[in-house]
Amino acid sequence: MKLRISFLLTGLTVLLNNSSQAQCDSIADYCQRHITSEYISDGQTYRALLSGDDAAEFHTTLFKGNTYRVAACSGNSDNNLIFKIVDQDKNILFSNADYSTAAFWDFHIENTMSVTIESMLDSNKSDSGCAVIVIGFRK
Amino acid sequence: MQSCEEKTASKPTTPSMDTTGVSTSGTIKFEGEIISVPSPIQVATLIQKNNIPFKQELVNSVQNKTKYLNETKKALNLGIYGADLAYISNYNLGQINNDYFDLMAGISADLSILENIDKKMVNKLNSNLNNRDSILSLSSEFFRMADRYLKSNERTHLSNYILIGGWVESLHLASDGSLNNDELRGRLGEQKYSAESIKNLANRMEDPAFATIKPALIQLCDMLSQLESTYTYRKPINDQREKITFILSQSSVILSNEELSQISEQIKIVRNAIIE
Repeated sequence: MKLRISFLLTGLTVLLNNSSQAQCDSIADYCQRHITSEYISDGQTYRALLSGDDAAEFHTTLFKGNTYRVAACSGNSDNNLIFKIVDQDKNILFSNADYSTAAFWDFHIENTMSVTIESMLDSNKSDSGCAVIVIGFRK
Repeated sequence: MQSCEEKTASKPTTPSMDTTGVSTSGTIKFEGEIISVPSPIQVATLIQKNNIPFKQELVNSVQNKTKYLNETKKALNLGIYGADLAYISNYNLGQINNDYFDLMAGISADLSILENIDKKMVNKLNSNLNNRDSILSLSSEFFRMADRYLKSNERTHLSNYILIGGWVESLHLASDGSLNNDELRGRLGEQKYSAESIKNLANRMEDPAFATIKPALIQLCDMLSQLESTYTYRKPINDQREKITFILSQSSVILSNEELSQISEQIKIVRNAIIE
């Protein structure tokens, strides 16, 4: 009996995990549409499962002279994910919360810098879900 | 949104990093990892902008492919060859583009990546190998799809090796022209900002096939991290209509001739450990 329950739990965990990955894949594909043909993808997708007021973050380097497009998505519609760009001294350089939670924004970089990109769900729209960030740079 | 005051910091500016999945503040790292590795295409583009002549000896040889017998070496060298293709695409070299695409496709097939990414995109890349813009756009899309597939199938370690390989090759390409070109020299020094992430990533990789590469890679990251740098915050300018922000903060990384020579030597050691 115990063995059967263990199998069931393992099966359930695998199913949930696969379902989460599929959700993230679908959102990543949706989000990639914002990296239009004038931009080249950085070759990565950044994603995290969030709930409540969790925040997800990663560090990245933005090189001088480039214009980057950052797109942020959760769910298969726009304006669900809040994202901030913060410098090494914790100054907030940009927050899409100031611009109707814009799904994407461009950044022209005067000097190479290390930044942290933070994201969180818009609590008015969702309690939990997969957060996806994609980045491209202008050709 | 932020204060107008400017803050100046001099001396090493290493971002603080938490290597655990969840920090004490409840912040989650994306995928439990701190990985954002600069695209090698950005270095290739800089080389093109500076009209630096092609050097065949800079790229990893096509013949080396047969040396890569395990998944780790295959993934690392997929990253290397991907960066090489971006470099080669600067020079209208015809058949060589096809050779490097075939290498990428072959290694991707060995790693069961090729059959799991969009075939239309792969075919489109294959039929546009005489067009630099298409190569850059489609090869970055190729690597994004590979990254997505590997992360979705609990093979993130292979995605990490591809990123590390691409990063090392872009340093190798930048270091070659650095002695005589200030832009490339600057770009090499600026890898300081990525070095800590690469080091954290390398420290997580425990594969025996990576054991001979890891110490040299970590040493390279440490050498880059120790470079002196400055940072001055400046208030960004937002253009709401065009949806663009101009980030105006000032920064610099100081790379002396001696440091350049030592770092270039270390890049060779790491790269040789990967490609041999």
